[in-house]
Formats: sequence, C-alpha cells, structure tokens
Amino acid sequence: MTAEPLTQAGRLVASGRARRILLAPRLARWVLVVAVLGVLELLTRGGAIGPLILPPPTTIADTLASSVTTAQFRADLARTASTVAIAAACGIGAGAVLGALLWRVRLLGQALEPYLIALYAMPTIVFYPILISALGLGVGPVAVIAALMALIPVTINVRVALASVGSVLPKLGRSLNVSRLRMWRSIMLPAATPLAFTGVRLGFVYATIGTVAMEFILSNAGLGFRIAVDYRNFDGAHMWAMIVAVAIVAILVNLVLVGIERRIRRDML
Amino acid sequence: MSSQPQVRRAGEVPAPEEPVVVLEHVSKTYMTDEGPVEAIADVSGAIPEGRFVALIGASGSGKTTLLDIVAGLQRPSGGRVLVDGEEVRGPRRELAMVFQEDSTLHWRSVLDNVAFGLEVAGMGAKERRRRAAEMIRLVGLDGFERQRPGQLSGGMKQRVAIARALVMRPRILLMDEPFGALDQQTRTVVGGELLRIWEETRPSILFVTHDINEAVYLADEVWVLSSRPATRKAVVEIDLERPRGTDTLRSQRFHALTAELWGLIADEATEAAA
Amino acid sequence: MGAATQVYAPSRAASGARRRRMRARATVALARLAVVGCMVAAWAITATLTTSIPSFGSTMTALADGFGEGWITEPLGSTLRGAFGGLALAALVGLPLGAVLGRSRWARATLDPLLAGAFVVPRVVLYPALLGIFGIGLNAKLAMAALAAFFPIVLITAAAVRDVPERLVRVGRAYDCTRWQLARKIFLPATAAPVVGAVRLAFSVAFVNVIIAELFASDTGLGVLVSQAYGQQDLPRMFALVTLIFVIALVVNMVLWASERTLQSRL
Repeated sequence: MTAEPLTQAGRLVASGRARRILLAPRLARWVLVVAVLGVLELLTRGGAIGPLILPPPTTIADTLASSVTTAQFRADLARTASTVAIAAACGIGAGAVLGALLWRVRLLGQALEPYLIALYAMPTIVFYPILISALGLGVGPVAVIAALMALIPVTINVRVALASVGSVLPKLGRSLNVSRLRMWRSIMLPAATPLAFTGVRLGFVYATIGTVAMEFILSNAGLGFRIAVDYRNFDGAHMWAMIVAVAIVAILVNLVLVGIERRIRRDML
Repeated sequence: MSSQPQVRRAGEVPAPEEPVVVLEHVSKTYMTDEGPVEAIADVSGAIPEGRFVALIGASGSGKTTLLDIVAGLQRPSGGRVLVDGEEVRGPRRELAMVFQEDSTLHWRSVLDNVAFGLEVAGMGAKERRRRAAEMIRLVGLDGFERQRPGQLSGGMKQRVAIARALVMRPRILLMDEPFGALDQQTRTVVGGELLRIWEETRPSILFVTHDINEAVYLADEVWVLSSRPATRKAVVEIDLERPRGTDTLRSQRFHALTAELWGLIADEATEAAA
Repeated sequence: MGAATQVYAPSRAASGARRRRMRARATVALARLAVVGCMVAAWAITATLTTSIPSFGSTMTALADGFGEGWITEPLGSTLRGAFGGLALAALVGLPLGAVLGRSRWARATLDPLLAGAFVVPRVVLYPALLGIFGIGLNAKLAMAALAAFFPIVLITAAAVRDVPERLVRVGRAYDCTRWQLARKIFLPATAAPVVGAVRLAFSVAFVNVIIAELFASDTGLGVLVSQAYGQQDLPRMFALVTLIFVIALVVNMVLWASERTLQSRL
C-alpha cells in the first residue's frame, strides 16, 4: 500500500469515477481515527460507556503523558522490551535454522508440516508450569513461551522462502562449481531473503504479542503485568494508558520492520 | 579465439581441426519406481572449434539432459564426453551455460551479475568489473550496468545471462532453449544479437531449441534428436551465408532446410503430441 | 499448480506416475504418524526422568476419566462455542468487509495501515474491557474470539479478492453479469482457497485467545480447568487438557487445510 498523493482525488474526479468527495487515503485515515476518538469521547463523557470499561480518550492521553516519565513505566518498558528482544532473537534464530532443516530434509518438512500449522492454534502458555519448574520464576518462562510463538511463523516462512528459490539458480551455481559455503552465501540466502524477512517480521510481532500476553496472565513484571494490576485495582485510566503505550510500541516496531521489508523487496526481489 | 594460420607446404592437405567437444556413445538411464527409463540411447558427435550447432527434437526427448551431461552437471550412464581431449567429470571452465529460465541474481546489479562467474573464480574486483563492463557493451546493454535485473525485460535478462557466460571466455557455450520464454519478436531480435556477439567472440555453441526456424537461422549444422530413447537421428548442414539477416529468413534455401528438418522430426512430434 | 507442458504419455506411463504419487503420499502420511510416535516416545522417556512431567499412561487415564466422569464435556463445549461462535461472527462481518476492501483501492489504502497496526497489538489486553461490558460468561469470550479472528479474515480476504486476475472479471462483465452474479460465479471460486486459509488462521487465533481469556478469568472452559489443575498440582489432569487442546487444534486445522488444498487444486 503506497502513500497516494492528494491528486488521487483529482484523478478520480477527472476519470469520472468519483461519485462523492474522496479524500486522499492518508487524510481519510486521520479523519476516521479522529472521528472515532471524538465519538468515544462523547460517549464516555456522556456516561453511555462507564468509566470502568473505557475512560474518556482525553483522560487516557493525560494519564499516558504523565506516566511515561515515571520510573515505574521505564522499568516496565525496559522489562518488556528486553524480554521481547531475547524472545525474538532466540525464536527467529531457532526458527531460521529449523526452517532450513525442514527444507533440506524434504520428508521431515512434510512430516512436521501439519503439526507446525496446528501450533499456531496452540496456546503455548499452557507449557508455563513445566518451564517454571525448570527455570524458576522470572523472565525465563515468559521469554521461552514468546520465543516459541515467534519460532513458528519464522520456521514456516523460511521453509517457504528457500523452496521459492527454484532450481535454476542452484543449477547456475553448480555450473560454476561454487563451494557449498558460496552456494549459501551468494545464492540461496540472498534469493530467499525477501520472503524470509516476512517471517522475521512476523516473528517479532508474535514475540511482542506473546511477551505482553504472558506478562498479563502470569503476573510477572513488565507492561503486560502492569495492565493486569491496573485492572485488578480498578484503575481504568492507567490501564488504558498502558494499553495504548503497548499498542504504540508494537505499531512503531512493526512500521520500522515493514519499511525494511519494503526496501528489501525493492532491492532484492 | 581462432587458431594460428597453418604453414603448409605445397601439396600438403591441411589436418582437420581437433574438435572441441566429442560425444562418444553417450547414454543416460534413470531409475524410477517402474524400473529403468532410458532417456538417451546413444548419441555421438563432434563439435569443431567455433562452430554453431543446434540441437532439435520433440519435447521430452532428452535434449536438456544431454546438454547437462555435456556441461558436466550429470554423469552419463554410458559413453563419455571429451572436451579438448579430456573426459568431462564435472563442470569445467571451458564450458559456460545459459538457461531457459531467468537466471539473473535479482539482488545484484547487472554489472555484478555479469561478473559473478569471475568472482567465483577468484578474480579481483577491479579486473572482473572491467571485463564485465566490456562484455556488457558487447551485448548491447551499456548504460544498464547499475540497474537491477528486476527492471529489465525478458530479452535483456537473457542478454545478461549470455554476457555472464561469455565473460568467462568459454571454449563452448551451452544454451538450453535460452529464448524459449521470450515472445516471437524478441526472440528474433535477440537471436540476431546472439549471432553478432558470436561473430566477435567465436566460441563453439551447442544450442538446444524446439524451434526449427530458430535452429536454421542461427546454426552451422543442426543435429536432430529422436524421441525417447534418444539417438542422433540426423545431421543437417546449414549452408546459408553469413552474416544472416531478415532476408535469409525469406530465402528459398531457408524454406527448403526448414522443410527438410520438419520432415525429419514430424513423426516424432506427432507421436509425442498424441 | 502449474500444469506441466508435458507430452501426453501412453496410459502405462500415466498410471505409473499416479502410482508414484500415491506411494509418495503414503510415505508422507507414514512419516507424519511416525512423528506422533516419536513425540509419545519422547514424552514417555522424559516422564521417567523428571517428576514435573506425568507419565503418558496417567495422562491418558485422566483424559479418559474426564470424558467418562464428565468434567471435561461442559467446559469443552463452552470453549468450542466461544471459539467457533467468535469465528462465525468475525466471518459474518469480516468476509464482506474484506471483499469490499479488496475491490476498492481507496478503501485499502486508507484502512490497510490501520488494520495492520491493530493486528500487531496484543489483543488479549482488551479482555478486561470486554469483561466489563459482557460480564464473565460466554459472551465475553465470544467477543474476544471475534475480535481476534476479525483481522486475519479481513486482511487475507482483501488480499485474495485483490489478487483475482482482472481478466477473469472482464470475462464476467463481457457476459453482462450483475454484481451479484459476478460475486458468485467469478470471485467466489477464485478466492475460495485463500479464504478457507483465512478462516483456518482465524480459527487458530480465536481458539488461542479464548483459552488465554479463560486462563485470566472466566466462568467455565478448558482454560479454567487448566488453571484449576495447575492450582491443585494435578499434573496428569493438566497434561490431559493440554493434549486435548492440541488435538482439537490439529484436527480443525487439518480439516480446513485439506479443504483449502482441494479448492486450490481445482482452480
């Protein structure tokens, strides 16, 4: 989805296809968001939506602004961010290796395929008790579960990416008598990167979702934990402020990765 | 590329040139679940220096397999292939290959694509880029050195592949239906380009195609492969004058040759399409 | 699947090819069963090494008891109702929305970033708000599942509709199809396979979210049973539930995946 210039409206009008006034998508998006927020503001201030369910957006914004400077928030953010980083690194690393292995040993890939797909539907959180007895309380179990969640899309995507390289390029390599290392370095890896990076991005996304969800349920530490605590303390405004904070961080990271992905596709596909 | 002029004494008959490639009773059999399948029964032949040989045959007749064997990418079940008198046991410097499908590396520039073979062979960056740039000029792609293959048309991408093959200064260029994926017009144009490039560099060429017109237009001789199990059914000498152009395509001799070849593969083709 | 421009071989070779394919498929099926065997074997071995993993036998007994004594059936029903119900809701809203989005470049350009952004946010943290609105029963879980399933359905359906080759649409228009006919005869078959894929992914997401919601707070459900078993340190029961959850995930995914592939091959 490319950013379309404001002349898109002009073009549509000129082509006679615009039957109503169309704003440029970028503008329309903000109009939509502001409109929704405006409606929510009215409903919450008017009492149609109770404060325990959703406080007014302006209150949430205030609370968020005042919270981000506190030491507590910084500690929570650091905890969540570091857990996501560890989980993503491990999940993506292991997933890439596993994906390559499943591609190389074709039968193994086909045999494990259905189980990998099913694991998408598996709440990996249920493995928590085993992990606690193995790793004790703390960041370990959360990171492992989030890493497992990240591993699955990476494995699937890396496998697909390697399969997509086709047979011509390896044949070219063989006709030039390339060494095994060079075959990987100069042919397979670059050829597979565009599709594989999608997996990497998904790995990050799932690592984030997994970390926050685990913190939320298992009352450990970090932003997810804070949201759960706020809920139990009926602190609606702070809870939603934290939810918004999580959302902003997740969206920002995703945007950065999408940008990289687009660049990779442009340069390498 | 051509050999030194021979010093001949009066009355002496010149010795024939040693062929670059010799196929001696090459055969290939695959093992499948149903038992052995004989793809190639017995193909022999010789390709002299600087000669353009086209290989035609019905679909599935093992042309690509044969080319792979000559290239050293597959071992023959029987017989052998000699290049400059030495048996081919694997891919060699003297052989360069151009494939039917797009084989450009999309993440590299055109220049680095053409230089790829030299890079693998260990040549330094400056030297290989210089040679690649030279070859890019030769194939008519100058100006496109920094472009990515993704921005090029099909015909241009094949020219990149040809440049990459030729920059290795091969003795023989193996081409597996290189223009098969292109449309008719592009095919004629790039075919003419190939002839021009070939005149300048003069490797031997073994050119696989299913297109009779293309074979007659480009080659010095055409080998006809029977369908599975393949043998070299016939060799037709193409005595059309060079350089060839669009008037060649309209000449009587051209039509006669294509008709002759069509007659030779007609039964195989009909059987194959049944 | 690209049809090979192959020679039409005489019937003997054709049946040979078919036999080869069936043999290959049988090998894969065997390999998949072997994986289960390995997993069970690994389980049995690790169970003897540590007390935090119950034996395979005791777990299976607990599972059988669950159905026999009936303490699994009602929570299982509640979880499944939540997951499938939410999936149905999400499909009801998401499929038409995805179709509209797929055809409208403007709508896509406007909403795509918003939807993609919403997708990456951990939806489970919105569950408390849903609890506030719906109370602690089935409806909160339904809403959670619907919310989770909505995004894959919309995004993937939109992509599938967008990817329908324009020439197919032109064929339909050439025959003077009404909008409705176009939808039914052209778009539906062309997008059937990826849409089933979207539904499959949506189920997975819905299922996971329902169980996580139940782990947090719910009146009944598999997740509630798991947290109860954990609280009571009843390892066989807990592992029995985890196995059941995995089997459900596997079966539903396989069924949908099979239909996805059949639809894909018919294309």
